[in-house]
Amino acid sequence: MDMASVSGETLVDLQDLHLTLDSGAGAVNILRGVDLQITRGETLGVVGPSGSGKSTMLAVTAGLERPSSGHVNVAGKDLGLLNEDQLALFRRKHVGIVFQSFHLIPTMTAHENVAVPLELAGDPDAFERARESLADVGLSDRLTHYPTQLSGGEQQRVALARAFVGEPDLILADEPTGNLDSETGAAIIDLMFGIRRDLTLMLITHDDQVATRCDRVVRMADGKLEPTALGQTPAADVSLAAS
Amino acid sequence: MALPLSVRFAWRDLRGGLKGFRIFLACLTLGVTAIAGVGSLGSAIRAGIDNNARNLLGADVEVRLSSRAATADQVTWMADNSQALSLVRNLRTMARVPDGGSQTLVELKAVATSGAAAYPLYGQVTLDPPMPLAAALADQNGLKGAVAEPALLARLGVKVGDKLDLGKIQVVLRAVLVTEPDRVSGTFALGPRLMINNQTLDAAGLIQQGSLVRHKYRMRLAPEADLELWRKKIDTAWPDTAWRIGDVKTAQPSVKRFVDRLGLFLTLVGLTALIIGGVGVGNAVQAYLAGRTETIATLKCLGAEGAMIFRIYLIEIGLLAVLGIAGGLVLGAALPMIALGVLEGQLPVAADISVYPVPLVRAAAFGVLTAFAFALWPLARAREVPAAGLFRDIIGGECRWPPLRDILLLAISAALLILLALTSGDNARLAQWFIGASVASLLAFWILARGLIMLLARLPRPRKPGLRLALSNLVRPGAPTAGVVISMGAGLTVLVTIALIEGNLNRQVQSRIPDRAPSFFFIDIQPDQVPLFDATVAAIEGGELVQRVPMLRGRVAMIKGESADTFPAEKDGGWFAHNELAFSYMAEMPTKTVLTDGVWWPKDYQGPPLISLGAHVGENLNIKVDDTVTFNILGRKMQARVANLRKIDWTTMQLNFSVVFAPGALEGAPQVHIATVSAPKAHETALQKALSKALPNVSAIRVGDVLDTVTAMFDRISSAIRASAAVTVIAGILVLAGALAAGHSRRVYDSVILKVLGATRRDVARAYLIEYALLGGSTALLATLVGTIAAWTVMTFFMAGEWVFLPLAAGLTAGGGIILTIALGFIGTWRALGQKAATVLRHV
Repeated sequence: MDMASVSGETLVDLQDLHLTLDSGAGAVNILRGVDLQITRGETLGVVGPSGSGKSTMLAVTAGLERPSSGHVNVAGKDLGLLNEDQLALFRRKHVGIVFQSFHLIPTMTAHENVAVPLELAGDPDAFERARESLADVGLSDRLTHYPTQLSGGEQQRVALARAFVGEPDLILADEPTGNLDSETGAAIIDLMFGIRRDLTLMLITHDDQVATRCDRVVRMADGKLEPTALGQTPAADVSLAAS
Repeated sequence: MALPLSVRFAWRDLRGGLKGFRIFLACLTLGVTAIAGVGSLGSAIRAGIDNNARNLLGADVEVRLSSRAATADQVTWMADNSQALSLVRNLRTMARVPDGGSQTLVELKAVATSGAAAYPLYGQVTLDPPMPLAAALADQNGLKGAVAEPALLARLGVKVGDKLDLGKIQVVLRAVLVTEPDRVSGTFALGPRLMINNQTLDAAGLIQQGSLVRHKYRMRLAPEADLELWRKKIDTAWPDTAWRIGDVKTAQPSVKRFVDRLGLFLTLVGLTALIIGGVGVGNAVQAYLAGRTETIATLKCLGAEGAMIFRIYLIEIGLLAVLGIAGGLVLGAALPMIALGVLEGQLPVAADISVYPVPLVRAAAFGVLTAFAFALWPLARAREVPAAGLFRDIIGGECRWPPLRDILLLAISAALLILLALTSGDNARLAQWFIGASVASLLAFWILARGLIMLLARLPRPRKPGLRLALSNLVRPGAPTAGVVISMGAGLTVLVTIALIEGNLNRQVQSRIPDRAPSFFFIDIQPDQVPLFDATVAAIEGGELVQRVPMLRGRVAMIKGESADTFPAEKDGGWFAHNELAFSYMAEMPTKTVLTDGVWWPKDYQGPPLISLGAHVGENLNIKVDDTVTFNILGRKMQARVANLRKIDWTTMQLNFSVVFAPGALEGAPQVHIATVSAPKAHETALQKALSKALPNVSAIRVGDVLDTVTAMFDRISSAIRASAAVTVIAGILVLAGALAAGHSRRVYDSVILKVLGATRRDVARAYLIEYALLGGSTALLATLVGTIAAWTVMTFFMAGEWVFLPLAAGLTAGGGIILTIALGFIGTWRALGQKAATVLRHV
């Protein structure tokens, strides 16, 4: 097996992942042998056409989808050994997620939305920390606004604050600029990369410009990862699927 | 820590308003109101009976005898064993305006008026003008006094001060009887009340051997007297006496039974409303949670466990259920006050209005269990929402099956609901039928819904776009088809059932009987009056004696060698073992008699006593041909062998007896004759007058009056049934509206897209019309089928009546259902069609 030449602790370790889903038209192979390692503090861009399996790989990494075969180890946890509730606790502690469609809870204010992960973790300072996190993304004045009262860019900033507030080990971002105009999208990316120095990130994007901000970029095609020339580190350093 | 967090999240979620829960609240409130209201009303009436038990009985204890007085020894014993003994006698007789004026049947009551025995022992009689009862009934200037209900004055066109002929004498009406403490209104009375004193009754010569007189010996006991001990004492002193003893603890058992039965029926109707409402609750929760799928998935992504999700929405639904149930309890508790205003004078006794906790607690329990049982499934499914869908923006769609634990929980709550229904009334059999029928109907409609969807999905797609769209709307994922079929189907089934039962009863009471019914019943004809009676009838033009038979009264002492007391009184057929019965005897088998077993005796039979027994009695008490029954007839015991079992059709208005003796046994016993006579309408009055002149002690009962009384009682009951059925229909409409509203946004989207693609409003409207007609039509068809089966079951097994399918009643009801579905569906569609395309598309 090829190993990443990046030194340090491996935070994400995906080994020989396969995922097949049954649909009305027959079985569909979504992931067809994915191997990937991400070290702590590394940012990884994932590019590739629609339907290639990028989002599914993200869902598997977050413990939201179980692979048909293969191993997923994140932050030292073998996700295959955890049940539904243990996976929820795992996400609470280790993972922050940013979606393309923001997915804020419509009945909660911006402040409450950001506080949710901390509240779930039983943090007594949830609202104070949420306030700080919203300040980090420049939304101190939007605390009591509901999602429908915010612009798309503002909603995504709230979503960023929510993903980062619990200081998770890993941020998973699924085309976070996909629903935004280019200027707002760029601002969001700046924010994302600027919030934390020790950011470990898996970022799915269609935008090569955005991808190049990452330490490393891989391309997903037809359920497999392949090397790409993009990224700040040499493509040869990327560990690729062998099968 | 976890619970407060789920409460916080639930509260935040509910801040958005109760919009999605309007139908949920309405369904739950309606069902709980119905059950709590009916229960409270029943409790108020029962409390009215209990609190007035002494007044209603008119005594602490009462000894009743029919057609004969107690012996002198017995009267002495009763006087010695009480503080006061007061004799009240009731009979039906004729009151006439003197000199050939009008006449009417009256419920005559003769009372004691002197000393400690004066009527009433408890309660007060009110007269208008006010005066003491004893004075009103006393002899003054050679005239005996009487008081009467206002109805008597109206019927005969007389006023206070006028005279009436009564038997051999004349009485003067001294006052109007305003209140009579022991009168239970609404019971079967054929005429208005006329009250006289006991001396006047004796003077009138109305009581002859075997006359249908009820003797009531009412006693006041010492306040500390032990009723059970007293009963034991009288049983020991007079062991084999065929009398009935009532006391304050068992006052008005028939009224109580009636209230219980009606209460149970209305509770079941309320429960139907609640179950139909439960479907609405389930639909509402499902629709609400469908709108929350994204939130649920998001919470899961942020680390919320399934249990947390379940708790959050359980708390929300619980809070709303508490709100809906509380509303229902308040309305239900207030219902008796409103109902009693409407029912003024229709109830047998004055109800005691108060807040009764037991029916309210029971209604709340029904509400909680219904809300929980119907909300649990969508809640459990919500727990299983796959969060990974957030990455693909295809939230919803497939959910995993809830775990076994949730399915068990659902089964337990359904079982508790059934248990509560079974223990809510004293008629477990009816409750079992009801539960069985409800479950079977809901299942039938669920299968129909699934079957319909499967069938339509497999049909080749029609070429016409309107029809194609209608079909796809019915079968697409998330279509309200199942909800509409179940909710409307259940509501319509209740309606069809009630329409058919009512139609069948109406048919029997109104259209069938008058063809065969005679004009009059005559009672209390003495054996020596028979020739004069027959001759008087024959002398009237068109007068025809239809039937005349001897009648005796007595009780059953033993059945198949066992004491009649061992047969439970409350079971079917218990009346035969415990009540006083009327017997007859005849040599020849009446025409049209159907024997179900055994043979009729020879015309000239002269052997040991034989009887012909009503087949229904034989069936209920397991008495077969050749079994023996021992009778107590006026103190004499007589054992008879069952010669045959005979089918009796009580609706023919013929003189029928459960027990008919063979000749040879009863000819020597004191007896009276009863007869049915028919006469052309024009000569009815002449016949009645001629007979009352020739035989003043003989009472005539107009069959028309009986039918009117029966019809009036029937009308009262059917309006109660209709009113309660309306509740189930409202529940059905609510659920239907809810199911249709749940699909509204989808419909707006569809119609906008269709309009964008060039469809006219007419095209879209036509497609929806076809959709609702298909949906309403197939549901109405099944509702008619299920309703017909239910009505047939009730008529055949619970009412023992003849059953005929009435296509008009069923068709009109089912047709109404189709029109309602189309109308409600169309209202929603019209709103959908009015939406501006650009506005909708901007938000898509």
